[in-house]
Amino acid sequence: MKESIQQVIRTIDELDIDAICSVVQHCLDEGISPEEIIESGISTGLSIVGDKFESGQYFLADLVMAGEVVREAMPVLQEKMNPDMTAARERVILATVQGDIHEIGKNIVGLILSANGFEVIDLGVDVSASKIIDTARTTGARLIGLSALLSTMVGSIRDVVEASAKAGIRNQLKIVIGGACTSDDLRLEMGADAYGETAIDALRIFKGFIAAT
Amino acid sequence: MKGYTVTVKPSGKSQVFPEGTLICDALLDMGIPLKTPCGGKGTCGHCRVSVTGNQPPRTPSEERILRGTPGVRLSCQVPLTGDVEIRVEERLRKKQRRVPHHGNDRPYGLAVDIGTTNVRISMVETGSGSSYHLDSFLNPQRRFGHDVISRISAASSGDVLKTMQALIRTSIFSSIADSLDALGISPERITCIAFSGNTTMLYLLLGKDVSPLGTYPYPVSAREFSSLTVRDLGETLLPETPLLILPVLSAFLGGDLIGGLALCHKNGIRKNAFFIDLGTNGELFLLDQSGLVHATSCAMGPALEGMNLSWGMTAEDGAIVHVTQGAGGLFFEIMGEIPPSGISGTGVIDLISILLEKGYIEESGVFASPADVNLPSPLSFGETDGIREIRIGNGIALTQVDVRTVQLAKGASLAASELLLKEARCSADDIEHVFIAGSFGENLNVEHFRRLGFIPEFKNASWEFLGNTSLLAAQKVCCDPRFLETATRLRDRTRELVLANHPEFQDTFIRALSFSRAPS
Ligand code: B12
Ligand code: FES
Repeated sequence: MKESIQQVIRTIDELDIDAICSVVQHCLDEGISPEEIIESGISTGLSIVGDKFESGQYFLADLVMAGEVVREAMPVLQEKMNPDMTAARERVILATVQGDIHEIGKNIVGLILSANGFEVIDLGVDVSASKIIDTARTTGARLIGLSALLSTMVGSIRDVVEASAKAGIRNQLKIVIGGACTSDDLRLEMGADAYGETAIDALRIFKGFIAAT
Repeated sequence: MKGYTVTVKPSGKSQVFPEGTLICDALLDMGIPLKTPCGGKGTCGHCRVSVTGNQPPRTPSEERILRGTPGVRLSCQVPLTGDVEIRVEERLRKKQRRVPHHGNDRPYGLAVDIGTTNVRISMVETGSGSSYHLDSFLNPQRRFGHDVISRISAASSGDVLKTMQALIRTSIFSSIADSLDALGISPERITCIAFSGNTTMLYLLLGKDVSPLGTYPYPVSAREFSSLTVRDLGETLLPETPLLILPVLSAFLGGDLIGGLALCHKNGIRKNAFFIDLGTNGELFLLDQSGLVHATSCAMGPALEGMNLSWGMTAEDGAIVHVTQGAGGLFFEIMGEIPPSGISGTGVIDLISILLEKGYIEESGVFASPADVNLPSPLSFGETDGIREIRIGNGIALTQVDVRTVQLAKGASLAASELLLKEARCSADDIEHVFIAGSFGENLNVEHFRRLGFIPEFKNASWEFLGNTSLLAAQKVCCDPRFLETATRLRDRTRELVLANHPEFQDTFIRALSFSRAPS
């Protein structure tokens, strides 16, 4: 792998917000495409950060910082991105389910998705199923990420699934769940499309859905 | 679902349980409670029994702990896969309590603190107020989840509410019956039973619907519980005995906090005081300059109670309960003076504080690099499954993830404290008294506790560790009939700060996770 890409990976891993822009610019100057910088550099850097979070080496503030480092680099990359890809930015609706107000995990997911070129529509916390489905209809977003941390509130996930069915748009949507009290079993039980354990998983899953269509 | 028979030897007592039931749970349901100080992680070895019959192979942790002893299993690790016969060594049945002098016919009250994680029972001579520890055990409802919210969600399905009520009632009353029997005290001498606990635990004891407690805006259906007797719990031992239950304020501020408040009030503490009860659900109150009471709660998880840490356990034999520094390295105080099998909340606080002070753990919470520091004897750095750890010896370690778990707990309580001060328009410097409560089972080293920053510095305050105020309040209720009235009156004067949708929580919490001493 090119040294300049490795430099991007290292800069994200070290959460060096002051260096990121010049490091990314350096890649662009070498003629590396923004897409490749995101794919091989930024995403790889983020998954290293994610692994370090899993093992306790990094903590919440570091995750937030990683999101910010990436966000810092976005304008530099966007300038060089070919307009087709920017136009094709996928919309993702993110929300913490009704009855639950934990937002930190959802915000990190949002940061990482937007850092990777998604257009995130963040509806906040304690969001009703009808608001989510209305937003999907008015914005045409096909991807929905639901965050749930309270085991008492998991029923709200089913509410979203059912509301989309009622609105007749269930098969146009991909509903992804995550957050401390969720699991793949819960996804099956609630009838959602995918479960992600970390923000990095969220990125992988949403990218997978785009690739599949 | 299939059922299998568990037969206990030598008594021959037997009962059928569904496939997959853990042997320790089956024994508990048959009235043979074993101590389970590590909470069933399979690390402490206290729950061992001899098993014959159809059983799954030993788990790696059993191999490690039991080594050469064939036929012996850790009952917390073995789900039923067939009919079994079990032999419990008498020595491993629960310990006999310290016996008070009872060569008189004075009346006694019983005080019970129902914690989400631990249950404690004591006996009080109602005249003199002298109290005696009777028993403590892990809350048997733990099989339905470790925190209040998971129990609430479990309670909403089928008969689980009934099962949980039966579990807590049976465990408490069989413990009482055993204790009275062992002490030779006739049940007639028990004049009352006082209960303290958080709102969910009290509701579950009374068999009340807990589902509203878990759903925004968390309404409570009852805040006082008067004129009840043991019979109302569906219990036949001591049916006429009155129940005295501490009042609750809201879904998350329970009788335990109100009890602590009333105790402070009785001791003449009326203003400029800060109190925190460090439990699975942390509860705190603040008496401002004019004596107004402000209170809030935060979800801390059971780390300090020895639960969700890799080698955590309650303060039972084999637990490292204190760590001190000496010339030759670290010194570990172990309960029962046997080889250590885990570490209790007080031990974890000591250890992390010492490691921080020496720079072995950085203020961010991350372990120092082995290249940069030399750990004091007997500690050493290691790594298991990609997770770094500081090894203590005897297979026990403090992992990097464990430190993060403690940080999540301390971040929640520090953030809650700071927001409560702000809400009350109080400066931390105005606080004169700081009271720390919790059921750690052992004395807390206040200096070490301060170093970890669970609460603000409060540099002008005197700091005091009060122990388990929830149990102390229940004891007080037994002796002083007016205590409940005081508690209720104070409850009605308390303003609750709800953090659930507080706009500043997130930032405060993330900042509060660090161990840095920087002024907040
Ligand atoms: C901070 C916190 C709070 C804060 C929330 C602040 C805020 N603005 O968000 C406050 C104090 C307000 C709070 C309140 C409560 N809390 Co709280 N809280 C926590 C705590 C300590 C950390 C949560 C967190 O932010 N984690 C960090 C983030 C990064 O992790 P995460 O959310 O899991 O997200 C990651 C992944 O899951 C994933 N992910 C997240 N969302 C999504 C979505 C998708 C689509 C995908 C793919 C992935 C994904 O990516 C993220 C990054 O990798 C946890 C304990 C814990 N260990 O989780 C308790 C905890 C969640 N809280 C709990 C409880 C009980 C409560 C209260 C009911 C209690 C109370 N006394 O106040 C209230 C409820 C309020 C409500 N209605 O929601 C319990 C829940 C228990 C249960 N079984 O349901 C916990 C587990 C603590 C405990 N053990 O008791 N809490
Ligand atoms: S309770 Fe079984 S090993 Fe600790």
